[in-house]
Amino acid sequence: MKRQQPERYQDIPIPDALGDVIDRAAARAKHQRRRRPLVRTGICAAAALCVLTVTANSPLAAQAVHIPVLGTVVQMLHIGSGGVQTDGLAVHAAGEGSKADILFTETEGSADFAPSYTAKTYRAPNRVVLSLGGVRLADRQAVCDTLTQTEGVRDAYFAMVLDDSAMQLVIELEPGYTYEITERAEPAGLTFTFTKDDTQTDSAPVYYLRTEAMPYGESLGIAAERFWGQETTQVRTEEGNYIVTVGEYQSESEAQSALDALNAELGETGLTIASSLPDERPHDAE
Amino acid sequence: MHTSVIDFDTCGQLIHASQDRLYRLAYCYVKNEHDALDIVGEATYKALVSLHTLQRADRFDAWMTSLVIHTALDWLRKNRRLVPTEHEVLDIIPAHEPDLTPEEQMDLYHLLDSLPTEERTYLILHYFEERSFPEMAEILSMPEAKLKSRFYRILHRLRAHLKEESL
Repeated sequence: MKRQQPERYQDIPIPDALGDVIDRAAARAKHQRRRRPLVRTGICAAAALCVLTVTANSPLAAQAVHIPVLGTVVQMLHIGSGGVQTDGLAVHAAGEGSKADILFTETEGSADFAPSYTAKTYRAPNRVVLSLGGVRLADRQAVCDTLTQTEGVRDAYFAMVLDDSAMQLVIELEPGYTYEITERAEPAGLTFTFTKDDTQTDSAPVYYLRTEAMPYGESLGIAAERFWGQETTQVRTEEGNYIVTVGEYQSESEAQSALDALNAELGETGLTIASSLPDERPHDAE
Repeated sequence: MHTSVIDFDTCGQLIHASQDRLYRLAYCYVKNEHDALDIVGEATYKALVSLHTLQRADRFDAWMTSLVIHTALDWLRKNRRLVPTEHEVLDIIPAHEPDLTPEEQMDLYHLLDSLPTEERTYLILHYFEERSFPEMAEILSMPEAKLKSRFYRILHRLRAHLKEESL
């Protein structure tokens, strides 16, 4: 058996395009490597300016000396994406006060750049969903414990993702809180800063589509995958189970239209229309 | 930033030198030319932008092989609904030969699809790439004893599966 397999393996024909594919990937990598120092230099200058401004104008500046330097600021954002393609990074967390750092390490220690990520905000309840690619390891309980001890965070949990190179972290905010993410490099990290925003007055109900409640497990991941690409999230219910939600709508009729379209596209989905206040968690049964 | 043990151009040359092998490895997972090319391209990109993570030049082969495997596994997870059915796979490979003994009937090309994606790696590396256990342990970053234990458990299961089918 062992002798004949390699011969057959060698029968797999090699396409002519293979060399070009590698050359194109190399050109893309070269472009990416050239771009990084420019971005960092530009951001460095901006970050230095910010620090000087804070030092000059804020009585809090004295406290800043106790905050460890956590790498070069790459970008600051509320909703968006960033990072670079990685494989096999581990995820950790550290926090103090109203800040929480999501840190990334590789085999040799700290990674230089954050893995590819997106951060999106959702309501009902008010939460941010951080999706990470190219990560494989995490002490999930420790990450969640760190986050839930952070001021402004009501709950934190990992969604069930059926891809062991990706993770999705759900951070539920206390009512009236908002957040900002600072992406850092060398070492890689994402710093969440949670702040009370008294200007938030949105109290209109939010409509969305949802599944039945289910315990955390593979079924949850499968249910979420079914609606992949449809603004799908996983939400922990007040009772501690989970639902998959699709979309956010301003009215019941808008939600009904979306549900009809989804049923027409995917067959009978079993989803129902639900509504909650922006800070309200869903219940197992509507 | 970490310095790299090999430079960018050398890495590119090494990938070109082993491109056929990397392509065949990717092909064993996805079973079609287009996706196998995508995987090799993506693994090449990953290698070149994360070159600083390579600790020793003599680990390049294992490191690059591991990148292709992980990229292929990621592809399979993200494209589960698009994976070809058993009847569509590897039509370049000669069909099953009925006169072979049960042991010989253990045609790995066909059996690969009956395995969970992660487990295919053990058989591809050992039987197709003819990797030794120490080499496989290095590529898969696991102790050799653990690797052997998993490898033989997979074989045992495949043999049981074949016996069931031949009854």
